[in-house]
Amino acid sequence: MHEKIFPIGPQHPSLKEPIFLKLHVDGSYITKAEFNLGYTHRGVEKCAEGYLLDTALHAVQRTCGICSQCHSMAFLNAVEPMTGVQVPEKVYLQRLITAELERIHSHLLWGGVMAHEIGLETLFMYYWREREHILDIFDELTGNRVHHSPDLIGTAKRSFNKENLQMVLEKLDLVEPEIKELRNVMENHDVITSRFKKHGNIPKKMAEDLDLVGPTARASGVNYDVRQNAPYMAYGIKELKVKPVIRSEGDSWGRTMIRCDEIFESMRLVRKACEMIDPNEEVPKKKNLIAKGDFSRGRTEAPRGENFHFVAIENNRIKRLKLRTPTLANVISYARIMEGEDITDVPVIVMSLDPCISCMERVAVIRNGKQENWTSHELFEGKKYD
Amino acid sequence: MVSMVLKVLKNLLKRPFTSEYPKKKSKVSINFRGVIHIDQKKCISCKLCEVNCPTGAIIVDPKKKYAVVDRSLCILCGLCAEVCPVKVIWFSNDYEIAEKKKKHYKKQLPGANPVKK
Repeated sequence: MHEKIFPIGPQHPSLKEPIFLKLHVDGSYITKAEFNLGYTHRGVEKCAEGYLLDTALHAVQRTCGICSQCHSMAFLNAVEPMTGVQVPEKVYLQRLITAELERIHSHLLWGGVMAHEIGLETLFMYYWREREHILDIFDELTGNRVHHSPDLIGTAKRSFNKENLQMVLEKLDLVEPEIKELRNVMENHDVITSRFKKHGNIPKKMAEDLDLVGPTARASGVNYDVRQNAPYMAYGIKELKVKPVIRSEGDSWGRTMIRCDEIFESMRLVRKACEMIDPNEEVPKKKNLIAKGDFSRGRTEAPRGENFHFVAIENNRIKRLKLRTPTLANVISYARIMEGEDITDVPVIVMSLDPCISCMERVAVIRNGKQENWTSHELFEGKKYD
Repeated sequence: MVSMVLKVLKNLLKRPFTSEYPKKKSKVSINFRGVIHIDQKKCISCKLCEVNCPTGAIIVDPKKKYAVVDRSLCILCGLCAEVCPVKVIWFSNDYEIAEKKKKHYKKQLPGANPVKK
């Protein structure tokens, strides 16, 4: 048989963001898959160089619209120990509530997009309706629906009062039965099970070899969650220990069910944190802090997996910032899992990893039509051309 | 399949969740950060907001004691309101912030009194 190349992207109706998939097909079966990145980039790293710490904190949050709080927390994980500031427990709990609500919102958004990919538009609408309640909570708690920015270094912009916490609990009680029904649909619907089960398999060994993170790895049986393995902020408190959801299927359906179940785990954490917060306590005022030391690292568990920040500081300003978002760790598996699949299953497999392409891409240097590799020294000083 | 049919039938009997937006304005919370306002009379032109702004949306003229905000660059993070020593920057609850021409974004809006939060 003649082998043909079937291109998907960079612009394609089934892709939300630009990525180029080059599929070698035999009939409708994929024999080999390649992918190419570099069609978009977000220049947060370069933009933050020379910024003051608080300014950089607000710039870093703009990396991702869906998981902005996790980026903020990763940056704070890196910077707060350097400044030596004492952060009260209430601020940690407030950050946990925002981050876990964000996880619920991210998984609901993803569920809707997944339903849209397989043509269940009604289910898409139902998912996004429930998401709207969570966005209302963000509006009330932090002041913005998408880019929340509630944090300052060592403190928060406002303290949650009694009415805020009451509203969170009421809204969660409102959405929980609806989300249970949606999970039921995802578990039992014939169209979903026939298209998801046994497609896009990632065995446990492959997940460990490729260092996959987040729900993608946990669906293949890898017990890795930063909230559990390296607890940060309020996740270290005994009552707020995370019990990660782990499944062994490793296919698209397993990854779907993991995200459905993680919503309920996040709800448990938010409810527990709301109980523990003292609504009358005020958060401390903003202080001018001086960072000691050269560099630091911070990581958090974003809705898609492990989120890593490297921060180098000089004269209390950012010298170098490096972000690694979870999609970069997960996207390498595309080339492996698509081999042997049918071409009609590609949208489902692409979406089952929950890719966030624009957050992942940093910079691609292309000169005279060829891609170049730069060393870190060249990146600092700027490469010189003859 | 049955679960989805039951879900659809349940939702048939409910009211629509969406609202008729231009006719009926949607409600936002009192903490919502909409349009940035600066009280020019009380501004001491210390330039802290200009230094801290991540996008360079605020430019302060120290001679005239006047701060200009380019609202097309503002990312509504609220950091300027936090760092202001005399607390003359506040955010109103308006969410219809689009303008027809780019130069209109630099025009100061007649602001309401600061909301107590």
